[in-house]
Amino acid sequence: MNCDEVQSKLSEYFENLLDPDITVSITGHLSACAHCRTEADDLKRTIHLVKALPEMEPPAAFATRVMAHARETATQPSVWQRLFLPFRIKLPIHAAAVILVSILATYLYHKEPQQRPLPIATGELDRQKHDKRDATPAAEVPASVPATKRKKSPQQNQAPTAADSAAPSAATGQLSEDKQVRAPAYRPDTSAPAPSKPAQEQSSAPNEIALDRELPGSAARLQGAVGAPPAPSEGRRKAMSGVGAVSAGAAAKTGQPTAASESASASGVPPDRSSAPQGGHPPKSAPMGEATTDHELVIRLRSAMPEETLLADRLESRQKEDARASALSPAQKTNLDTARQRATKTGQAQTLWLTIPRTQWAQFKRELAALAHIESESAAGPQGKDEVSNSSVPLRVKITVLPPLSKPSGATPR
Amino acid sequence: MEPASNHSEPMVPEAISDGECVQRLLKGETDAFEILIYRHQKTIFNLLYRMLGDYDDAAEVAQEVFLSAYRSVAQFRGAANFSTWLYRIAINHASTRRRSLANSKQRNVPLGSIDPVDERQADPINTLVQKDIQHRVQVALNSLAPADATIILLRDMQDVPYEEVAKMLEVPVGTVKSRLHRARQTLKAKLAPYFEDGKLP
Repeated sequence: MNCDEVQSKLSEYFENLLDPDITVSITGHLSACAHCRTEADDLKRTIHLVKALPEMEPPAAFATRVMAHARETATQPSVWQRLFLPFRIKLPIHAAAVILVSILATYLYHKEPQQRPLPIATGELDRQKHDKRDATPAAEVPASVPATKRKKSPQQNQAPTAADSAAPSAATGQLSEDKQVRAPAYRPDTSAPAPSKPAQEQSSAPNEIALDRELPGSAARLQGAVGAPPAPSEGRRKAMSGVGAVSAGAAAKTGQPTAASESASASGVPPDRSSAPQGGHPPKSAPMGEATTDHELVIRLRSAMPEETLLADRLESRQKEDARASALSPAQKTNLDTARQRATKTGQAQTLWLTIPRTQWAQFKRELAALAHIESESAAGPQGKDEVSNSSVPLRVKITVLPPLSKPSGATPR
Repeated sequence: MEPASNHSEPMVPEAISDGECVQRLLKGETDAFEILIYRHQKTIFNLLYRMLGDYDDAAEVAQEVFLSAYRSVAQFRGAANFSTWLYRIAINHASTRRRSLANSKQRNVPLGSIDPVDERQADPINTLVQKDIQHRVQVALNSLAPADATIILLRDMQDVPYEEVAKMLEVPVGTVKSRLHRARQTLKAKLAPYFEDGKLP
């Protein structure tokens, strides 16, 4: 064995842990090798010095002091102990929890649909909303429906409807006006794009009113964004600028089936508008509508079955579609129907706004009378109640739909 | 040293094993822990004293070690040796404290000023010589890496069996042997000058 080998085994050698033959070999080496012998001696002395270190007594009453602390710990519930692990474990866990929560909060925050609670009547805003709406595929409608239904604000209900353009002919001017007026209102994230009603719908173009769908809506919007063809937005935009009903119709046509039953009346109209009425409309539209109300009507529904009336209306609207003899556009009829159904179902008054060309005012009232009993009428604006001027400026009407008297309703005309 | 107990059977410390103390402790007999303290305080304290080179530090850390053991006794399943488990706690605390001591200040071993009275004072000269020797050894230990100091103290100072050391350090026995040898060589190198001077036996 060489010196390195021997020296590496000296510890075991001293403790008699080696095989006998190796032990003998090392002993022989040591007797012959002075260098290794010195190393071995030094190692032995080192070990002995450590062994010779005196044993100290712990401080007096050490055990008593420790027990005193221990008993303090004992009084604390062990659950506390379980919950709050040793500090070094607790802190990282808490830190991780804080981080995760903040990540989640940030994620949710960004996922939130852009709620536009503030009415900023700008056409731009409307256009944006339109685009978003267009993006929504029909599939969202079911999602938006429950969402909107949650918002049971009688007022809101028909607010968007009011925006329904009146006669197509007047669409243009109205559209922009409506649009701007509506802009502030919550825009539904895109309630399902209205079932497109070919052609005639142009009036529907404005459907700016988008009801804010909140989360489901936003989800819908996201989904919609995926599937929506750009065409509708294009169409909408044109309509908004009052260019054309046709584009709106085309847009509507893009094939976004409206799941909303109430929109079933093919009023391709503003997708959002049609579906919007179903659900609760955010109250936001109210103030806006009121601001521009020229005329107010309070009507009391007859106890006739709403479904029958709706059916009747549908038949009527279908018949009159081409003729456009009705003062109301199909979309407006739909909204009116929606208001009526809601009033009947909920027993609460519903409010909607419609824009009617002054020339159609009389016809409108006749049609309305067929649906319900006109209880009161007032001019909110400077015009007189009976004024049916031949001005081309459309009349903005606020209609309060009271539920039929047969239903218990605590609703008061809003 | 019989601790008070509100249980019917009085606890006779010598008759109760570590494992049994733990069982009683887990059932809520807080006083059973006192037996464990008395049984192990000296070895734990001395290990800490030699690891840290300071009496007060050792006392402080020793208390922390026992309280830590008390709080986590539920995690000591009883499968392992209680002593081994306690040592492991002590080694961890000592390493942590050694690191912070090294960072904050130089550890110095006061020459006999704080050490408890040594019975060998009957022979003043020898006592002084002894103290001087011990001081030099302690200084050398202080300068070792914590792992080296630990293994030397466990094996050479406290004669802990290899198997137990292996469990405490969580390494195989063979590793313990080779590490021990290397640590001794390192310590030897630090003390060698004194051998030649004749200052150390």
